Amino acid sequence: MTRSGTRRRGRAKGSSLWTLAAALVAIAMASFAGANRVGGEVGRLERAERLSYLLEARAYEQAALDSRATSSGALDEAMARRAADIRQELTAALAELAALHPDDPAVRRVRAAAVDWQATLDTKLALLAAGDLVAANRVDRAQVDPGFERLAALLRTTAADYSRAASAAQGRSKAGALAVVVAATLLSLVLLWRVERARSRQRSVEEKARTDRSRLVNKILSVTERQRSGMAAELHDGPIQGLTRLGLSLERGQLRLRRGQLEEGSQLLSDAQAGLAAEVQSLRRIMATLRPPVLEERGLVSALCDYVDMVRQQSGISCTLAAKLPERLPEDTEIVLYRVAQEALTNVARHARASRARVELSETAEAVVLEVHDDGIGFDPAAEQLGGLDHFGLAGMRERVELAGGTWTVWSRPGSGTVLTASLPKALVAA
Amino acid sequence: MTATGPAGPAPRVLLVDDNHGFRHELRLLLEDCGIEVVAEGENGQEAVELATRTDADVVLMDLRMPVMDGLQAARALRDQVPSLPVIILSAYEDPALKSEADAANAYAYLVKGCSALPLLDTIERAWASRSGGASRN
Repeated sequence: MTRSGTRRRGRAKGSSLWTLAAALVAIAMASFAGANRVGGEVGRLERAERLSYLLEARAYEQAALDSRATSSGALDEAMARRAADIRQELTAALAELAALHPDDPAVRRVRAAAVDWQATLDTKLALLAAGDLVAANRVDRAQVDPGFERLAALLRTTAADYSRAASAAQGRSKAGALAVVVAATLLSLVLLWRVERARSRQRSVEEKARTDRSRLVNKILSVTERQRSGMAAELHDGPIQGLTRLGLSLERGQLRLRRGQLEEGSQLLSDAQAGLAAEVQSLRRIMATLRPPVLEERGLVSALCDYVDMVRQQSGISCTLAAKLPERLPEDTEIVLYRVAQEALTNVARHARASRARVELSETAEAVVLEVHDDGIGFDPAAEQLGGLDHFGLAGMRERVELAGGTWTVWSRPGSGTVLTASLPKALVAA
Repeated sequence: MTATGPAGPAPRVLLVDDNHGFRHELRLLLEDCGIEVVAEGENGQEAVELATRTDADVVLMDLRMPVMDGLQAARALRDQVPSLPVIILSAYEDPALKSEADAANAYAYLVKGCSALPLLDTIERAWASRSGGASRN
């Protein structure tokens, strides 16, 4: 996956988490509003129930005052004030009830019954005040008492209805609250799960990065160790053997000189001197292999030019170089490409039985490309790879290029030559 | 700088090294010093075969060789011809390799590049030890 793809995916994950969080907040706010609404309805119903009971109680009190007035023929001053207060309380309570539930037919019936009852009371009180007790008693029995009974019955019914309605609203409120709690808990769990999953993925990514880094370090160490081992073998088989042989030769020369065989001794010393010069030359070659001075001083193209000349002289293969590089490459890039070309041409000289070889060096906008062609006997790369063989150091070349962040390919077919291609990014991967 | 010993006028040496140039030069030096090189081999396997077919008194053998290395050959010779002293002549100055050579019952472990004197001295002492007269170094 590309880095931009990873970033997009990361943004998508973050976005879905924010969506969940927003949903949770919205539900909480809606639940809060719903609870407030239901809570307000319960309050109104409970207030209506209490007003119904208050109205019933005041009606009974007024009825009691009315009975005393009937029995005594008139109300004293205190009772008259109380009766007026009760009437005001009844009026106010009826108005509040009507305001709380203006569309409730029960409220309208209660108001009508109360107004009717108050009117009969006023009629009866007027008759009493006029001294017509008979007519007052008649009104009392025929209108006041039934009116009171009807009003009291209506108020009891209304209070009971409001009580039931308040209980039902409370039940709805509790169920809603429970649903909100359940929904919020579920959403929280989902949110936590998503967060934990995101963390787990992050841990996996970090673990993989650590593993990849460790693998790369091991690979680099392995390549370095192999190079050191090869260098040790080269020193053992070359200069050490040569210099040891020279030491023996000098011993022999010394022996001859001691024995007075001056001519033979002198010849041996002279041979040893020549041998020493050859060994110094051999060491210089090894040093140049480790780090060709021309590569550092004059760059890749000059170094390859020299190497191609050397291959041509030593192997007799018609070897050419075609390089199109406008300027020096970064030092690490030059070293990798030089080593790959060196190894590839060594293979050509040793194994390919080629008559011609061509090294091409070119660049694109982003990469430097090295190609080594030969017209030799070729080989079957698949068989080489399947057999786990590395006769030609192909794995080493490939590792070197890939460790530098480049790509490496080999094309070959028995009888049709070989083409090796190494492509390195212009900005090398830091080791 | 001549070699003489109790079992004859000079020790007979079996010389084994995969580097032909070095072997040739060492042979000339040994012969200049009166030591007879009875046979030459290029690897450990040839050393074992030649040791049983020739009348060598001492084996002078390299360590790092193809087919069979010097240590393997020294172990094989220890089992097959225990009386034949083996001198390892190696390019590696490594105590671990010397220990392995000791464990393979090599008579001595010499590093290539040493002067001829200790080499000749070691050959003479190995030759003498074969008849029980000298101690190992």
